[in-house]
This record gives sequence, structure tokens and C-alpha cells, in this order.
Amino acid sequence: MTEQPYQQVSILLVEDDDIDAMSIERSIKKMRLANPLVRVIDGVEALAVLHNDSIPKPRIVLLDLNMPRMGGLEFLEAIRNDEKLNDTVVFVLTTSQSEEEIYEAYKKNIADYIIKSSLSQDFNQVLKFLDHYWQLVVLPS
Amino acid sequence: MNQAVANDVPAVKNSHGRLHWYHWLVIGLSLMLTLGAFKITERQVQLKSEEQFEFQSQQILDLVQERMAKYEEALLAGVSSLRMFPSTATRSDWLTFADSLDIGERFPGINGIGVIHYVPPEKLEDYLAWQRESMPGYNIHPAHNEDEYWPITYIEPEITNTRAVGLDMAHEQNRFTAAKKARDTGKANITGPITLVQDAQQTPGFLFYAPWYADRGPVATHGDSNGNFMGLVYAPFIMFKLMDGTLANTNRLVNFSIHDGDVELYNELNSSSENYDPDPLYTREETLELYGRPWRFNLQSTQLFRDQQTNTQPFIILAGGITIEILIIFIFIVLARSNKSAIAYADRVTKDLRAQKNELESVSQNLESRNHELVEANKELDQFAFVASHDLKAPLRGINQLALWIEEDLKESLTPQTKEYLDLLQNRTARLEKLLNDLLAYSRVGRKEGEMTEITVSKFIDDIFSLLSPPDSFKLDYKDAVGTVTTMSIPLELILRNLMSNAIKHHDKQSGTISVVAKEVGTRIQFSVTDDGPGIPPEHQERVFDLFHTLKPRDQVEGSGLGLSVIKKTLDRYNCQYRLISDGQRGCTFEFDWPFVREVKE
Repeated sequence: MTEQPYQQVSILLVEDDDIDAMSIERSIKKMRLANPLVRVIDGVEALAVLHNDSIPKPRIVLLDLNMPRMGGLEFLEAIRNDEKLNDTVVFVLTTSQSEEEIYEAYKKNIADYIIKSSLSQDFNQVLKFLDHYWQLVVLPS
Repeated sequence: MNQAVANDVPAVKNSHGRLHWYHWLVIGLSLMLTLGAFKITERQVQLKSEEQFEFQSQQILDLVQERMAKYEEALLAGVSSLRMFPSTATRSDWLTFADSLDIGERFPGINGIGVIHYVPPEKLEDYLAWQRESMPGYNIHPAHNEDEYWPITYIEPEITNTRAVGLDMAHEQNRFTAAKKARDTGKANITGPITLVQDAQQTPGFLFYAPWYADRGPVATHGDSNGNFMGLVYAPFIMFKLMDGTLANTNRLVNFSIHDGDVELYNELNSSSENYDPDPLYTREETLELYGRPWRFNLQSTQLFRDQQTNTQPFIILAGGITIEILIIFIFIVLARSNKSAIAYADRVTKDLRAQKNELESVSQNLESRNHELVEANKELDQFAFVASHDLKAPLRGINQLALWIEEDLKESLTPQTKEYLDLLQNRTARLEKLLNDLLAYSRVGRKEGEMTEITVSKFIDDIFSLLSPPDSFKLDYKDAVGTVTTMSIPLELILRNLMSNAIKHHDKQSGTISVVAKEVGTRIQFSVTDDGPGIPPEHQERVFDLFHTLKPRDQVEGSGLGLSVIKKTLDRYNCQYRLISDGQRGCTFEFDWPFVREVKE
């Protein structure tokens, strides 16, 4: 179908909780995914790494909403108003089930809103879903 | 504001309770009207009375003049008869005339009527001789120094006038002057005031002369040389008799006196007169030229006149007017007083009302701010519950993850004991998560208004039951007498789900039946949810609505203890009545009503 060599999708994880971050890393390791993962702790750092192109394209952002300094919704606002970054594909990954936040997030053109609903559930399923996703979908490069 | 009111009131008070200038103006004007009406009426009465006096006094003057004119006629009649008799008319001739004249009857007031012969000195002898033919002792008297004689020859009635027979007019100035004047003017004349010789009372009187001219040639006994002037016809008058004859002397409205020069002719202006008024209302002085003499009339109103004229009308008007003034003043005072008290009352009421209003305002402000505080507090509480449960979840997830990883990583080396501990750890974190989720749900109640959607009650109940995924041994039995309505379905679903889930969760047997009844009561739907579980003992029925309250240890029945709290909060929010019916032995019924709108289908 395509002659281009398969390009691994980079993941930018914006998450302030270490255990959640570890949980993602653990799931990636467990599923033996080769995707490069960069983790930052809030929106400010996320903007910084996106701007200095340290995350190669194609890439997705896994975004938590409740974070210190710059939260997820503020970060979304910032990249959607940024010409260079406004094509960024963002998945929200959060504990918040607030309808207002879901509504606000989708208005800022996120790809999906994933709720870390149950404690027992690890991120294996989420990663499985993402793996399928980027194998099927063409992302902006 | 209060102070301003308090300061206003006394200032207002001071200006009330007295009569204002316009009150005084009204009083003054009406007083002027009264006085004006009084003056005008009085003036009219006075004018009328004056007119009356003028009329009455004029009547007297006219009467006197008329009477004198009538006497003149009598005298002229005498002259005429003399001219018809022979020149030497005798005493008996005169008697004939006088009888035919009938003076007593037709000329009241007249004292007699007689003839005076003019006798020059050269004819005296003949004259005396002539008269002595009919009256032997006849003589002229008294003696005087004039060189002509004017004796009264005849007088009828002779009896009352005997003393006048032979009286010579020339002996006294008044009589003589008037006689000559009558001769010279050819007109009737009266003498100045004299006392008649025949008047025993010696009262004022006068003589009235009419000249007698003839054209039959000279006579030896009397008359002037060429036979023209023969003498006088005369009448003596006693003044008071004349007046008695002239005037009716009773009920007179006017009294009067007559003077000729300084001499009094007649006077009824004294207390002996009937109805004499010593202080007359009106007087009038009039001088009439009467047959050669100026008669001065002094006329004045009598007591009778005063009595008749005393008109009380102006005084009635005055008294009535003044009475009205007093009444007006009285009314003004009463009005002013009542006005004052009304204003004082109004002030007081206004003040009270203002005070009450201020009080109410402050109370309402207090309530408002209290309300606001309460709303804020509730909001904060909800916010707190929301944030707390949300933020508590994150570390809980961490703990759970870590326990999971430990279990995964040490799978081979775990002892059964350690495995159980880890399971318990996960169980407790799961329970805590459930608690936090329910707390979030609880805090969300009332954060949003329920949306109105159309539901069919029977299907709605059935769906909720199915979504709970109950064991097959549990049955739902529902009776829907309502059908399709429009209502806030989300909170209703929350309530029914919690009730049904409680019924299943807390059931003490393997199988059970939940029956739900919905019926329309007034403007609301009455729901009752009944189970055949263990029931709730009456002593616990109050507390089951408390937050986190459960009747069994959570290790036996998992539950946050928030289900009924959420129901209570929701029902309270929409002002719904509810009650729990259970004997604590078997079964439990929860009843509540719920608002709805029935759409009218066209």
C-alpha cells in the first residue's frame, strides 16, 4: 500500500502524577511497543518540548486535565491558537467525569476523551486502543 | 433617614392647630358682608323712615294751608254777600249770611265771621248813628290816636264774640297793619299774633282779613271817599282751636309748633302732648308765607313714629351675621383642631410605618445576605465535596496501581497470606473509590436543573431495572396508571435506580420481588417502591437518610451509605414529599411524589 518505511508514532505524555506516568510506561513495556515516549509534568513543559521539535512527527499527545501551572484545557487553548501546533492530535486521559470538561475538551478538537475510570484497570487497554489507532490512521507529519 | 423623619415631625406640628391667614380672611370678609348688609338695610330703613316723616310733616303743612284756603273762601263768600246786600247791610243781613254759611258745622276751628267797616273821621258821626239804630249802646273802643276807624261792626255768632263788637282795629299795631295791608294789596291777609279780646284764656290767636271793595258809589256811613273800599270781612282765630279743628289729634306721627317771628302761635312740642318724643328721630323746620305772615313750622317725629319706625331688621341681620361669624370661627377652630390631631395621627402612623418598613427592610436585607451566605456556603460545600472526592481519587489510584504491580511482580514468591492481604488492600481501595464516586454524585445533585423530557413511566421503570443487571431470581412488578408524561427524568432515574438497587443489594434472600406503583395524585405522580427484603426497623428509619449511614458492615454488604442521602437531597430540592414504611420484620415501602407536566396532545 505504501512504500514509505513504517514510522513509529511518538507519544508526548503530559501527566503530573508519577504513578500514572509509570503505569503508561509499564503498559508500553508490557506490550512491547517501540514507540518513543516523552513525559512532561504540565502544559508549560509540553508547549516547550513541542516548540523545540524534540518530539518527532508523527506524534500524539496524551493529556491529563488537572495539572499544576498549566492544565489540560489551557494547554489545548494554547496549541489551537498556535499555527505551528494546531494540527496536533490530542487524547485526553483523565479521571474527571465532569460533563463541562468533556464538552470543553471536545470543543478544542481533541481526538478522544478517555476516562481513567476504574482503579483496577491498567492502561493496557488504552495502549492497545492507541496501537490500533495509529496503525489505521494517517497522522499529520 | 430615621433621624431626618424625627426632625421633620415637630417642625410640621408647630404650623398646625392655629387658624391660618385664609381662615381670618374668610372671617373678615364675611364680617364685612354682615356689616355691609347691616349698613345697607339700616340705611334703607332710615331712608324709608325719613320719607315717611317727610310725607307726614308735609301732610300737616298741606293740611294747614288747605284749611287756611278754605277759610279764605269763607271770607270771600262774606265779601260776595256784602256786595249783594245794599251798601248799608244791617246786622240782621249779616246774621242771615252767617247762618246760611253754617260756620260751626262747615268751618270747624273758626271762631266767628264778621264785618269791619272802614270809617274815616268825617263819617264817624253818621256811622255811629247808623249802628245805634239797631244797637242803641253801640260804641267804638278803645280809644286811640289814629285818624281813622276800623271797628268790628258785625260778628256772628255774636254771643261768643260780644266783646269784639265795636273793637277798633286801629287801636293795636298788629291788627291795624294787617288791615291796611289787606286794603292796599286787595288780598286776604292775616294779622301777626294777637290775643283775642273774646278769649278768656288769653291764648295766641290771629285775625284773617279779606278786603271788601264795592262800586256803588260813596256811602255816608263808611267807606273811602270814592266809595271803593268799604271795609273788611274777617274771622278771628284762637290758634289751638284752629288746630284742633284742622287736625285729628290722636295717633299723630308728627308734632309741631308754629311761630310768627319770635312769638309762639301754637306749640305741642311738650310733654303734655300725646306721643311727645323729647329726643325726636327727625325734625324739620319750614316757613310758609301765609297770607302775608311768615309762619315758621317746627315739625318733629313723635314717640308713635319712633315706635312704628323702630325696625329691628338691620339688627336681626347684624345679630344673625355675628352669630354666623361666631359659628364660623368655632367651626374653623374645631376643624383646625381635628386637622391638627389628624396630622399628628398621620405623622405618628407614618413614623410607625417608616420604622416598620425600615425594620422590614433590614430584616429582609439580613435575610437576603443570610440567604446569599447560605447559597455561597452550599456552593462551597458542594465544590468542596466535588474537589475533595476528585482529588482523593488520584492518590487512591496510585495506591491501587502500586498494589497491583507488587502483586504482578512478585506473583511467584507470594505466600497465600500475603496474597490475601493484597486482595484486601485492593478491596478497600475499591470501596473508597465507590465512596468517592457516590459522594461526587451526591454533590452533583442540584448543580444543574433537571431537563424536561418525555417518558413513558412503565418503560422507564423497566429500563432502570434492566440496567441494574439484577440476578434472574429477582422480579420486577410494576403498575403504571400514569402513562406518558413530561418530567425531569434524570433525577427521577437516580432516585428509582437507587431504590431498586438498594432493594436488591440489601435483600436477605436469594430471590425477591420489587413492585413499583405509579399513580396520578393531583398535579403529581405518586411513586411507591416496595420490596420483600428484611425491612428497616422503625428506630433506624430516621437515620438511614444520614450521609454514610449503613445498617450492616460494609464487609457484608458493600455500600457507601449515600444512596438514600442522594434520594433525600434530590426530593428536598424539588419540594417532594416522601416517607418510608416498614415494620422492620419484612418488606419496605418507599413512597414519594414527583412533579410532572402532561403534554396536551392535539
